[in-house]
Amino acid sequence: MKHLLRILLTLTVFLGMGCDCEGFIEPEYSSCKLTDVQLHNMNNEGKQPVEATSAGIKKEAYLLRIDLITDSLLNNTHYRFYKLEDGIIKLNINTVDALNQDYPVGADVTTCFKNYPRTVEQNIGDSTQKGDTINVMYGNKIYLALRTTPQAGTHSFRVTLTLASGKKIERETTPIMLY
Amino acid sequence: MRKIIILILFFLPAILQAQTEKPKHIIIDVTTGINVNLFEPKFGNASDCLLSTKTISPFIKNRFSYFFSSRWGAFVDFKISSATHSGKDYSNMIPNLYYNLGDDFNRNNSVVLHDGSIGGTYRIENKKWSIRTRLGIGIGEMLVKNPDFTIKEKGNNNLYYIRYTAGDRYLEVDDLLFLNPGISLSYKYGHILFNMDIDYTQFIQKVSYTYDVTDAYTQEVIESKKFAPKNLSGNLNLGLGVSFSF
Repeated sequence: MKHLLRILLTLTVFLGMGCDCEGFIEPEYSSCKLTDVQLHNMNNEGKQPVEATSAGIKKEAYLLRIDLITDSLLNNTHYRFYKLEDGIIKLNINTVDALNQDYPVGADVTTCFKNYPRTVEQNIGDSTQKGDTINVMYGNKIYLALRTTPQAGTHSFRVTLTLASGKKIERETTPIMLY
Repeated sequence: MRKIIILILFFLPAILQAQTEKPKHIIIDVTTGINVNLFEPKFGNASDCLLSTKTISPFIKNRFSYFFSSRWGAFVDFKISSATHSGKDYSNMIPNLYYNLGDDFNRNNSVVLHDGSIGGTYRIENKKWSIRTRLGIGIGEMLVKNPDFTIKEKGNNNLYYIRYTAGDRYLEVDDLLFLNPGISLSYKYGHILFNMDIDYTQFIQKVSYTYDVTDAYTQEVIESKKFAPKNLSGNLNLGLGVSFSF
């Protein structure tokens, strides 16, 4: 009887906690469509990543920026967020030129790229690395740091985005000299 | 531990009363003044500013003394004081090969510090004047900084988080043991005494720091070490106050 009373009391407390939903406000989402993807070679030798020039980049300082272009102008003002109608479930990166001896031409080098763990403008990160879908667009850029040292030379990467509907979008980076 | 010591301090007069038969003499002091920080932390590297505080700060202290003979007695006291980080330049804490991408070091908060001590006191007096010396032991709070930094290696993508933690806690204070000798010069006016009070607090423990470097990509701790300043902390309290004797 005593245990039953305790269980009932605990349940009451938990139910009471569960009913307090005022603290969390679900943001208002507007839907948007992914219309294009643009790739940028970024130079991260300095304090902040900058767009690479034709002079090339030190091979340990290469960042890949993926811009997700949508049919809506994304901004976070007025607590309004955009959600992709057709979310990105997979992001693959393959070499166009051999990365090094371990990764020849056409090799899947997705795991060689890691989310850049630093707040950079509009960076939403690649949540597919954790098995999630990219759909909430509080920004529209994905910064990925190359964490495997490539061999010196000209490099280009092919990025393939797979959407929830099965549609694929494929783009290639402009060849860049990594020295 | 701290609570136990406070309880012992609280019941000390009653314990002493039970052990002595002679008439008792109680003095309650209220003192206020300035706390002069004499601590120049030396870690042997550029992180000395972790424990640097402003030199002068105010304090207020209450002391309860119980004399179980005409000369000898015991006391318990509690002090609150203010302390502010000195905000020294910390740029040397980031090696030249790294950029500092962000830190929380510039928050120079003012914090109220508490300490309490217990000890013995000896008194010499005539009709108008009284000199009381004392030696106590106690626990006091010391203002500490627990900064964290995000640093980036120059010329590559490497990012690290550096975290300094004082006393394995994320609090702004650390509790340390101290000894405090002191002296009070008093002018007696009936049951009231007007005092000039000098106390020196010598900490006998050092703040133990933990330094962790974490790879920002993998969250793996790649370096962890403990260190402490080479010297002990101390401060001088200069105060004026009034006492009531019973």
